[in-house]
Amino acid sequence: MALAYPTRTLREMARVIFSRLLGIVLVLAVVVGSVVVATYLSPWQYRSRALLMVRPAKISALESTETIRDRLSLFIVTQRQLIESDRVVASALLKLAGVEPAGPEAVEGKLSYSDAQIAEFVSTNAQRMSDARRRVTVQTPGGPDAAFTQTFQLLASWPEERNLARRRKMDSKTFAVQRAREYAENLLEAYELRRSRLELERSRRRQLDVLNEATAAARAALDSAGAALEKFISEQLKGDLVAVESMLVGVTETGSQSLWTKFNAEIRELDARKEEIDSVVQQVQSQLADFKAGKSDQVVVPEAVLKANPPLVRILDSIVTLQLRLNNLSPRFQREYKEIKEIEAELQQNRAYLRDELARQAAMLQQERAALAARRAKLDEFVKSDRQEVTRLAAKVAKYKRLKDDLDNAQTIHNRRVEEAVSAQNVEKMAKLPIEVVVLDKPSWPDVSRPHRPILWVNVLVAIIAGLILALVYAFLADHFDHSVKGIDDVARHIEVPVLASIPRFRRRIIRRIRGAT
Amino acid sequence: MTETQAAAVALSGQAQEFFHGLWASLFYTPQAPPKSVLICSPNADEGATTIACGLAISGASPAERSRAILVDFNLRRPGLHERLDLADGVGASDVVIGASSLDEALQRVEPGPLDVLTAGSRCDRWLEILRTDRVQQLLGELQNRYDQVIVDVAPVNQYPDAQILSELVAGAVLVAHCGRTSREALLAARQRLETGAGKVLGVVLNMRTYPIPGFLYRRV
Repeated sequence: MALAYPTRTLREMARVIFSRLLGIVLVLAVVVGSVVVATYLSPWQYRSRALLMVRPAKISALESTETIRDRLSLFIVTQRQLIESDRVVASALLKLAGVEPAGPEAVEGKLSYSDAQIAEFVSTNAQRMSDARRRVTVQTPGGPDAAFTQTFQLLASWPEERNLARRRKMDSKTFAVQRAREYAENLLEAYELRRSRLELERSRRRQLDVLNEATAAARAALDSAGAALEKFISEQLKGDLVAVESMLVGVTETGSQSLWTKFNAEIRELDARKEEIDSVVQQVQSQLADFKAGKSDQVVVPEAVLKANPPLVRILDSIVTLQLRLNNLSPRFQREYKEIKEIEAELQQNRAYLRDELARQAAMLQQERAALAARRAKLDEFVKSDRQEVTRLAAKVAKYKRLKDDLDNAQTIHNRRVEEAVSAQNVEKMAKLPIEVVVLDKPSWPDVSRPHRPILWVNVLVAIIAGLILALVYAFLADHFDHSVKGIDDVARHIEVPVLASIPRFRRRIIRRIRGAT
Repeated sequence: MTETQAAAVALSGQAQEFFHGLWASLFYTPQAPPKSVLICSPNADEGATTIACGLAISGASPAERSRAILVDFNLRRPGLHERLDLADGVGASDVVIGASSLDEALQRVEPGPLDVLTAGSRCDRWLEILRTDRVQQLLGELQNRYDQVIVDVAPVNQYPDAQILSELVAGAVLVAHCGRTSREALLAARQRLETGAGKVLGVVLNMRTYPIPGFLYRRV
């Protein structure tokens, strides 16, 4: 019962353990024993080791030490994956089995196994493959987390195969040693072959895809955009190209708008001028009519007419002078006085001039008015036609603008791609400094006297710990599900009745008969 | 009382201590000690009969002035006479049904004096007999004659005998076999006895084991 646990005492824990001591020991013994047996039965393995070093073939002055380190570390990681890949392991095993390679092409004069051979081997020997892969280790000094390493070890082990060795009439240990070394050699060879092939393929492919794919796509986009624009111009726009272009330049809508407002302003000005002229002409004409009728001698020249006519001013001046002279002379002399007569005649003459001049001015004003009217009509028509044109071309302008924008975009993208391609080429050139793999130590002969085998005491230690945990779990679980009364605590906790006495288990009978006592 | 059948039994030295303790905790109480005690276990083979015998023998030492009687009311599987090496001729059942008198049925065990009333002849209608007043009369007489009446009875969870008898005695003692009797069975037995208006005086843990080694036991 779960409610009991908080009140468990240390004594109860001890009781749980000691009451099931036999079971605990049994579990422990089974676990440890099976681990020991498994350790002894596992075949001894002989390990061949090869030491390899990676180094950049040329060190560029541009590269910092850190980037070189990173590149080398990354390189080693990829080499580990390469060595443990299906292809390399399968190639090594195939060669070990004496199968001839039937590769499609040779690298550095060496023929590699074909994809079909590898695939068949991998699919039919899954167990062997996984075993073999487990026996391949790529080690870097300082462990997998070492910050920087330039060397790595290829460790290949091979187990003792007693049956196979007996068939070949060889000592199983020497046979295993041989096989281990051979396996390591084959692995190394397959790995180098694979690596050089990959390098070749990579260098062949890179330039092409960087240069071509992106740039060609951008180029095609640019071309198609240009073609679309050209087609539109030749088919749809035809003669309107200049008009459309000018509308685009005048910033379309606002451009024609400003033109129209300018026209409207001019029209308004014309109207005002026309009105002014009309009023002046009217004044002049009424004056002239008065004059002709002889109603008055005096002619009032309108200010507007006077301003623009110097001859008229002169005539008026002379009229005024003559009048003054006449006024000076007339009180003193008779009307018949000759000078007076002359002046009057001259005055009369000048007035006639003035009248003529005014008439001429009136005619001129009339003419100007007619010209203004004509100009106004022309402007009206111009605005009207311009409006029509704009509405007619609006759709075309929009499409033209869109196509033109497309073309611009395509152009920018293309330019960028070309730039990228160029920079990628540069990067490629810089990264081209290849990493060399140098074999420092060829695969070694494994030491016959020192086979590689599981360390017994480590396994036993782990087994003891695991077994103890298992046994304790067993003990506490068994106790948890065992509801039998075991002590005073149980009774007190569950029955709530006092315990009067505990009678222990006695080896002998409690009650002895005493015969013949009486 | 037939003197010819007197048997001599004794407790082993170690056991005697424990049974003295049980006797003391049962009967040496400051309040009025129970005159009659029912010794029963939840299930069969949990040691009720042995405990009853041991208790009676330990209580019946010659030094005691008080007298004890052991009655076997376990008519289902009587075992008292075997343990005490007595004949099971006439016993409690015969007295109850009136086939024999109490004095005829009593037997004596040495060194005592310990009087024992064995189960006696079997009877099919035991349950009906238990319900009659005669059992009460018999128990009443025994309580008058003796200072302590110790009654062995059939398993509580298997037969209703103990439930019926618990009404007629001062109290019942439950015997639990350590590591065998489950707490549920013990609880059920207690509840049965209490529904029968009996009083559970306590539990005796029989066959108790001490798995923790002594040196550790003293420390934890």
